Amino acid sequence: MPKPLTLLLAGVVGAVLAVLGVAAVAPLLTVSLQNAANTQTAEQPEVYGNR
Amino acid sequence: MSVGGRTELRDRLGLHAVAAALTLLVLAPLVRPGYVLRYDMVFVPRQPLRWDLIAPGDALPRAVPQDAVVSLLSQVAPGWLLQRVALGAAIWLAAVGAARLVPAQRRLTRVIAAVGYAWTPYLAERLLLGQWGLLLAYAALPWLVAAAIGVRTGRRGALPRLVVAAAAAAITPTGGVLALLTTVVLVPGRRVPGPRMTLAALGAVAALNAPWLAAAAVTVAGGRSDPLGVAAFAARGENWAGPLGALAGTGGIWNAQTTPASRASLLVPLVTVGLLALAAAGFPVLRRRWPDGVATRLGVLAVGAFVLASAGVLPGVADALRWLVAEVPGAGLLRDGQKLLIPYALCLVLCAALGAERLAARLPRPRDRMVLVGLVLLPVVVLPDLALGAGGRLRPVRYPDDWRTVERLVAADPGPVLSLPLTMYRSYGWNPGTVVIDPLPRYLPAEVITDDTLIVGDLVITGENERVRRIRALPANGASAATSGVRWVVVQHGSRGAPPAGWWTGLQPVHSGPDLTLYRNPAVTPDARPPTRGRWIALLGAVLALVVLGAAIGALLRRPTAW
Repeated sequence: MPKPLTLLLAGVVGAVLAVLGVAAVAPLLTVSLQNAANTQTAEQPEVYGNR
Repeated sequence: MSVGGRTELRDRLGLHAVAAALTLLVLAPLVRPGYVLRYDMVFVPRQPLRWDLIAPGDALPRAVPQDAVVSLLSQVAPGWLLQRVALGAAIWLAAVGAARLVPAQRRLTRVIAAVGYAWTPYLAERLLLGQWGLLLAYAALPWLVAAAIGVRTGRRGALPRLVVAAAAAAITPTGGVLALLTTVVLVPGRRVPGPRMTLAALGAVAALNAPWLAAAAVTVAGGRSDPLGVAAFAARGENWAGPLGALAGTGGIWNAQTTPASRASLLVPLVTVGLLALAAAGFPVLRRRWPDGVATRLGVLAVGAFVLASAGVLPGVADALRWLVAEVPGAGLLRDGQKLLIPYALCLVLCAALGAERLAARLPRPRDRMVLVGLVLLPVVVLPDLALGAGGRLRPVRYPDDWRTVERLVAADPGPVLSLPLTMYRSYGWNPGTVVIDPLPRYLPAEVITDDTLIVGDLVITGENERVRRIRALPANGASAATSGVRWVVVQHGSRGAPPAGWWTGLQPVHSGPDLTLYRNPAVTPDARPPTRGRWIALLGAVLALVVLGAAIGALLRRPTAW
């Protein structure tokens, strides 16, 4: 049986990764929604990129 | 085999398993057939070997010797396979190289370095921009540093290893310069390796840069670039931390469309700060465990890389950079400074991995392992959209049948080709969701003239090709494409822009398909050849590099345990 402090550390490491993961995924969802309504690339095919 | 030998073999196989898993996770969509065509990445079924790919007569040698290498390999392997090998090698070798380079005492520290270096914003952003040659340089750097340490410590066979690693980096001019700078900074020493070995190392790596240097010497494009490029390609902020914060986390590419969405996360700067703190804790460990002075030299190289990468956004420095780009031939290499971050990324990852090991040493078992495993997963958790072909953005497609038809027609009657509409990057209906540099120059067995004007947002960065400029001016002067000096004109349908009506006078339509229309120009004889000025000098540069590489490989093969 792991010690309580070990379990606590495992929980902290897992929670930190979970928070970072959720924070990283949030912009993905925003961008997906924007892409659905944005056809900028199709309208400007010769543009190398946008800043 | 001894117990130690078995353990070492198991460790090595373990690292390769980690590298394989990372490579598969990133490139999974490439199990489907076809070619990933994105921005600067073009592979074709069989790239012809042509003079203008060894030494472009009218343009700067930005893809020298990369195009020549692909053309040579295309003689024995199909383009789809070469693309997968190149991309797979970039990720796999980056992971294994970093893992082997870090002077770790624990297996998990090596895994942190492997995942940390193969899963960076830098790799993701340059992959999305299609700069696979630069990623080979990224993958080669840990091997190059390891070999440089070997040269400094007098390890047998270190010099040929250094040359092979530098050759992989030198597939692009930027990689070649980085390899040379790394050798200049890391190898020279007062006693060891001695002046002869130092000169041999520097001379060999300089010779590997000969292909693009020779090509640059003979091109009529000059070497100066439009200073507007500095503003267009300067590092870009990806979140509230601004461009310097983005660079500190190895991101900050100029193009918002090739930046993974997760880089906008509010917490990314905090992760960067954490990494920098770990790296600060790990740097003394690196200094202690590496031969005297090497860690400091790598640190200097990393700081230099960071300063160059941020030059475009630093007031005052950006002005100086604009002047350099406009006035000094070759200084255009510096305008997209973020690509020079490679030594910084390597130093950051190595130090952070050792910082993690130092932190774990303060914890009892099994808590130490928990922290290390958390740090192994951290890069993937913070940048999840690199997985599965950067969130599905690396998508193989097939060229339409029209391309094969036009290729056959041009091959039967070779001569210079003009690709219309005049635009460098194109968006095709059959390659949705991205733009790609015109694939025709690599697809057709003849020199293809394309535009070299770059458009970044509202900025128009003028190219260096005088021939294109003259052709662009023809319609304004009432002249048709028949006076452009090309044998063929290809019109790519679906690309934005349309040539003026009088453009076609004197041309004969030969093929008209849904994707391409081909015109023959009877005013130009079939045996018209591209300019031959200085091509033997360019070839000499390529041969010199090949001889140096061949000698290094020969020396390694003569050793019982080459690597």
